[in-house]
Amino acid sequence: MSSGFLKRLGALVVQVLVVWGIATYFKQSLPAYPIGILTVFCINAILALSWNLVAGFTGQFSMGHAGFMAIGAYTSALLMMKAGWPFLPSLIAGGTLSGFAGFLIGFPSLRLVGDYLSVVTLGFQYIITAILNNTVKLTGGGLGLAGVPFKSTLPVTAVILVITMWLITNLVHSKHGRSFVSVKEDEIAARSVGIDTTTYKIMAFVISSFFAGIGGALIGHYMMYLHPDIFNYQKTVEVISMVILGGIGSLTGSIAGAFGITLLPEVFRNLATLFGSWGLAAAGAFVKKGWTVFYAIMFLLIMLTRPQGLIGRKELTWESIGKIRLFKKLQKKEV
Amino acid sequence: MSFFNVENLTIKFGGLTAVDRVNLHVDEGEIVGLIGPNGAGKTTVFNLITGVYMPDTGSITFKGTNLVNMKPNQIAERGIVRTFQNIRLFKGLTVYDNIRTAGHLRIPYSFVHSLLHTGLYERREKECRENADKLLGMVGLLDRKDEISASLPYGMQRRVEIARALALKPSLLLLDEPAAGMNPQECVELIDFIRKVKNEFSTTILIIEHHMDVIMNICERMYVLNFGKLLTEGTPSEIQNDPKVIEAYLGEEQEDVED
Ligand SMILES: Nc1ncnc2c1ncn2[C@@H]1O[C@H](COP(=O)(O)OP(=O)(O)OP(=O)(O)O)[C@@H](O)[C@H]1O
Ligand SMILES: [Mg+2]
Repeated sequence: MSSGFLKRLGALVVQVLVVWGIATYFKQSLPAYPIGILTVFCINAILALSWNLVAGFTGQFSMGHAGFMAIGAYTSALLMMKAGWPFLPSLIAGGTLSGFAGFLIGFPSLRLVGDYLSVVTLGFQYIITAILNNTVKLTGGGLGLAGVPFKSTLPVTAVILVITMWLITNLVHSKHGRSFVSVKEDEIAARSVGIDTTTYKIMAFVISSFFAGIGGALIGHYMMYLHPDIFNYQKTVEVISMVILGGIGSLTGSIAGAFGITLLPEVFRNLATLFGSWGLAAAGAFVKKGWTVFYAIMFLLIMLTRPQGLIGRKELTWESIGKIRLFKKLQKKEV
Repeated sequence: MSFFNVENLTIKFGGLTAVDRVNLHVDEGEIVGLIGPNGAGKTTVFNLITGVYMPDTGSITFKGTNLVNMKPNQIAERGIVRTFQNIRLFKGLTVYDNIRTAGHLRIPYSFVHSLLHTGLYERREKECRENADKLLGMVGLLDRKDEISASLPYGMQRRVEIARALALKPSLLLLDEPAAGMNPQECVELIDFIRKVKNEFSTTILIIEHHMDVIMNICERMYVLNFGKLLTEGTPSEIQNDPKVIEAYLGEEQEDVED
């Protein structure tokens, strides 16, 4: 045991305790609506981090992330409901089974050079939906699965986000993380320096699937209801858009992107009600119906002006925030 | 048991026999040259040795084991490391990270240590950083280590690539035209540099090069390839005076004129 390791572990424990404390305080003092948004944000951030690990670091694109989320969600929910397991083991089992599915999908498709993963994962997601729809006895099929225990409170999801971020950040800053990046940079060069690129691609994909499973399980334990259509292609795209918004390859970017994408529909929803209450019914209806158009325009603008995402590949640190011009001006005034 | 041995190596691309029944060997501690006109098949020989291509026939043995059918990363692991004619750096990474990424093989620690950043992780990473610093000091790029590798001038990128190969502590180093694009002064520096590498890392070197002054200067022995076939083998002075070699190169120059 080195003191450095204990220090880092201690720092994590402190972070977890602080976040737990703040989240518990919020939960008790804020109305249900913002707490709900914050909870969904935490889950979305876990999902974005998980997708980013594969796309941002190894350069492989999973188009079936919702499939892994579904496996995690149904596994965890059913273990609690039908087998009477406690929450934490069910959650971890959901992630593990999803990771195992990631291995089964990744092993054949990542050995090939080229973008096979996108195609295979896309197919995989539809297969999962079909399986869920056809196992009515177990999963409720198209009728949905009601009565999933509510476990995704704000403190729980926030703490899981902190731990996920810690683990993935550690991983990225290690020989394994650098090997992931070498695959994205130049696979031939990576192999020439002894990096077993296939193994690293599979490894990243399995870890990503694990966290997708965890995120999916948390969705179930938040909504208290599951349906195959929750985990459709759109859900995958939503997660991808978070990563692209924040910057592919940036972990803090994924969290910022998840925040943006979680908040945006709520902003438009409120704007619509606001316009309505001002008697501008037409404007309200326009915003209500047309916000997806704004959404699309926003993404077009980002792709055109900042294809690397808002943050790019860099990481947001307190230092870099301090460097933003606005804050510099403020600091100068203080002096 | 010889150090490195290639026997009867052949590969066809469609109708073209790019490498045709080539035999060559390298003894431990040698610097051996591989020359020949454009398109002679030199780079293809490197691609075969490093497992990028699979030979149609022939064997490649290194310290007694057959390398045919091994993956490129397994061959690198065994100590044969190359540079590329067109330079293949991890372009988006800093010079420092290029070197560190390559050093992984020689600083083992498992996934769990990466995930938890344990004490072992810390020690191994420190080793890795020190090793990278040492290598960058040797190639004279320590002051540029935090720059993105693609932003460096060409000559420096070459040196980064060689340092990256050295991070694996190779026992056989394959250099594919390291002097390409260098001026005479840089060529002289390169000669010294390659000698230094050989002495400090006690590695054996097989080098492809078009700059005759470079190759004649550092090689003890060399092979000449033409149209995929081995034309001849010998010491620099033997090669320089071999009429077959002169003809092969003259033929090429005439073709170039026609181009
Ligand atoms: N993957 C490939 N597919 C088809 N033909 C190839 C392939 N790789 C090489 N060749 C052909 O094999 C021949 C030998 O190429 P190679 O690159 O080995 O030559 P070289 O001796 O390295 O030449 P140079 O001095 O120009 O680098 C060339 O005619 C080339 O076009
Ligand atoms: Mg060549």
